[in-house]
Amino acid sequence: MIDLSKTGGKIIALAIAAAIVGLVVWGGLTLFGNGLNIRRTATLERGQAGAAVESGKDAIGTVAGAGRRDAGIDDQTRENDHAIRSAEGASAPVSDAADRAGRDSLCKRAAYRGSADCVQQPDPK
Amino acid sequence: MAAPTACSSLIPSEWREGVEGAPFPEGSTVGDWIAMVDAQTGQLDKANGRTVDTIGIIERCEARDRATVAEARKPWWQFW
Repeated sequence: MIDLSKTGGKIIALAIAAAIVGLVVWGGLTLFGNGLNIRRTATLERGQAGAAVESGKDAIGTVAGAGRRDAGIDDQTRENDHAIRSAEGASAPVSDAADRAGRDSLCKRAAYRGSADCVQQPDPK
Repeated sequence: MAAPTACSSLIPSEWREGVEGAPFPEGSTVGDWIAMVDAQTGQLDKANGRTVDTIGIIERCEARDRATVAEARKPWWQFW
């Protein structure tokens, strides 16, 4: 046993007590830190799940809006088509050469690559 | 276990194909060609709209993911 009546014994006892306190404090800080990490991970996972749901809703809403916009554009195209064809001079013919040049030009565009209008050429006159 | 959203996966697969060009003129009159030009412009409007929408969907998705990480990184003592 440690003899506390002597200075050496007191020093040893203090050292042991300090070591015990240090271990307790270190253990407590480690547990606290681990708890914080667990909490942080849980917060992140919850947040990511929520963000994914909100982003999905946003995308669905945006795509639906795009569909309505495209339908409106098609309506405008039909309205404009009628107005154009009803205009004076709309039935005037375009020369065969200009008509051919216009179609050939369109067929050089990527948008019409593989288009049936470009694959099938009219019989030469 | 949750993971950051793959934001680009939110874009419809058919949007990756692009917008089709307007149909060729039905005949060879002035009206046919002008109507085709107008229809083509309508298709351009659709394509431009999708470009804006795509960028918006991805930007907002990325902003949500950044906010999520920032929230998780807040110090334990910061309650606001």
